[in-house]
Amino acid sequence: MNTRTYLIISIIISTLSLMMHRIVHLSVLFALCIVLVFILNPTKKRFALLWKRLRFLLILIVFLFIMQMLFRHDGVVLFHWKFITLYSEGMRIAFIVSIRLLILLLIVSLLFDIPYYNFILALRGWKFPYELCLMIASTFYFVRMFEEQLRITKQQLRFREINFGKIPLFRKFQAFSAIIFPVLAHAMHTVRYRAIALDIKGFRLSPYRTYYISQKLKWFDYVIQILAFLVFVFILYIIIK
Amino acid sequence: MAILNVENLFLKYNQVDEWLIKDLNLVADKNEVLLIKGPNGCGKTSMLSMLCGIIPKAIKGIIGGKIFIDDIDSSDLSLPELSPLVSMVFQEPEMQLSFPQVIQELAFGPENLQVPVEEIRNRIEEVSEILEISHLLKSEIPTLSYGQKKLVTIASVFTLSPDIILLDEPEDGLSADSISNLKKCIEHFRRDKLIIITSTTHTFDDISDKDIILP
Amino acid sequence: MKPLFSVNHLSFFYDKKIIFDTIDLEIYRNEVTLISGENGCGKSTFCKILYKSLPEYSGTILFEEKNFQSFEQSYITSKMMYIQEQTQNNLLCSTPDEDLAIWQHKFQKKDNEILKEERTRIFERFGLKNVFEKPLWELSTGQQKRVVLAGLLLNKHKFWILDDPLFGLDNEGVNILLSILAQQKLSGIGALIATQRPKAFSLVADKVFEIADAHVTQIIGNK
Repeated sequence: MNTRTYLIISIIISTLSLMMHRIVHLSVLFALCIVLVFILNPTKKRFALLWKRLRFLLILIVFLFIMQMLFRHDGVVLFHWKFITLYSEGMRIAFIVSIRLLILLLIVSLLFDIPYYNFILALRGWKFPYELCLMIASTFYFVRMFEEQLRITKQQLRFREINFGKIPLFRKFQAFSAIIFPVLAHAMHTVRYRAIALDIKGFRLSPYRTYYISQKLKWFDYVIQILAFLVFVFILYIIIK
Repeated sequence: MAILNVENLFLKYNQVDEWLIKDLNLVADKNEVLLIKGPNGCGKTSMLSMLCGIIPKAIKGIIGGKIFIDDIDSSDLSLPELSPLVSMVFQEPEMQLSFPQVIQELAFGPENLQVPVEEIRNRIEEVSEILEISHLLKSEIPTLSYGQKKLVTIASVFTLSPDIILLDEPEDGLSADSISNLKKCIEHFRRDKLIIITSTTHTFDDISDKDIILP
Repeated sequence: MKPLFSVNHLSFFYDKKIIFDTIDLEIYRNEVTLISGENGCGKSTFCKILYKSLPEYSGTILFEEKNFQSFEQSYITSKMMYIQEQTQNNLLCSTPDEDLAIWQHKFQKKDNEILKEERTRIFERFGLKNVFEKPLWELSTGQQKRVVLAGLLLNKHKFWILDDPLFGLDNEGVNILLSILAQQKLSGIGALIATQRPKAFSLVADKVFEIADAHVTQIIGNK
């Protein structure tokens, strides 16, 4: 599937998740995201990577879920114990916010795996200015490089027999600050040099180029894009109605 | 008319530092292989980066002097505009590989220069045959070994086919057979190109025409 | 002497391609063993397997005569030091001094004058006296490699696994590494070195194995 098709589906799903306000609708959309992950390169390695990314952010989602539940005081009282009171509206909003965040995280996570140059080419295909293409592609690519660099750093800490959990609390901050800056610096360095590498091979020399390997949309890209758009309009109609 | 003319080149990265490259003068033409030697940290990579235009266009540096490529002052051209004239293979292949597949990496350069599809195919076949990486064309780059990635970056600059090819310590990570193939590639393409190689070993002594020793 | 590693019928696949096909060899703690071969033959893979960085293999590996799988990686890292092929993957901090200091204190104790003096001596040995407080990204690849190799002198009690240690080094750097290896041998500890240039180690190497077509052949040394 062409990168542009990935992007269109991602934009549609993200937009719908922000417009939907019912738990049932959002749950169906979330299920659709999971199906998408199954369809798009469903390897064991891909799921493992996805789980690794989301696991860290799930803690944040759980935290937000609890905050919404505890601090929204609208609707019917569902539960009361000592100073803790849970309201129906709080529960509803908590679920909506959490499912919405999960959908957005899943979609963004899929985009992180698009190769750097395919991203740039897809955005150029939509006539975005080169500098904007590079900025957007570099942002996604930087996150991947940061992830990779973090993995290398964690590995190197293990090789040096350093267990972060066993470092005394007052030294943890020193350890963290000594390590995080080089991780960021190296990720930025790699992104920068990859952009230079594209330039020294003539990228953006001319608005026209040959395509040895076709980047054109294939028939199923058109079918999926049209279908996605029709589904989007239909759901929009239902929401508004 | 020499293809490369370097006049009084100076480089340092910070005001407080000593000059890394001091008053370098160089004239070289097509069908020459230049070998730049020197100890670690003497400025070999920095020199190639200047010749390629990376310093100062993409990386800051305090420079002096002029670089003329084909009688054109290189400071008048942007990095993409310089690419048909001069390009570089980085020492670290990870810094230069942007595509999932080998064939995409090799095709990228000539695609940008609007080389016809048939000509791109011929270039890829020619270079991959000499470097013996034809079997890797459909491979995913992340699955390659370090040395194979190095060969791919070298091949990608030869398919771009600029007038001046800069190779930064290309022997690192390559086996004896791969180095032999690289030398064959250099000999094959040198006729209408200037090839500049940096090295800390004697690997390319037998094919170089001129040695430049940096202090 | 009993072998440090006994590798029996080791097989390894990667991306549907066979890297090792039932290879057998022994590595001794007091010997410098070289592994050479063409690009992509599996030298780095072999080093990673022996450092427990790649657990998915078939066959048996004995470490100190016990099943290698029974050891935790923390035990392996306490007994061996591994330098990866890609120089930057071995570096943690912003400056050579900070990077080397971590080998000493591991964030468990405060840096002190004795540790600093030790580092200064090591930097002098590696010709990094003038650059040890410079940011690592301002150093050349060869200088960064010297910083990585400088860590060896803080791990002399360990068996070294070095993946292409000559990468980026000039003649002076190569000679420094060879002298360190010679000194290690005198103290009874060797190394496993994956290299494209086995001849460079001719003065210190005891055995040379070559990996080709998923098999390993011993080409130099007593069997």
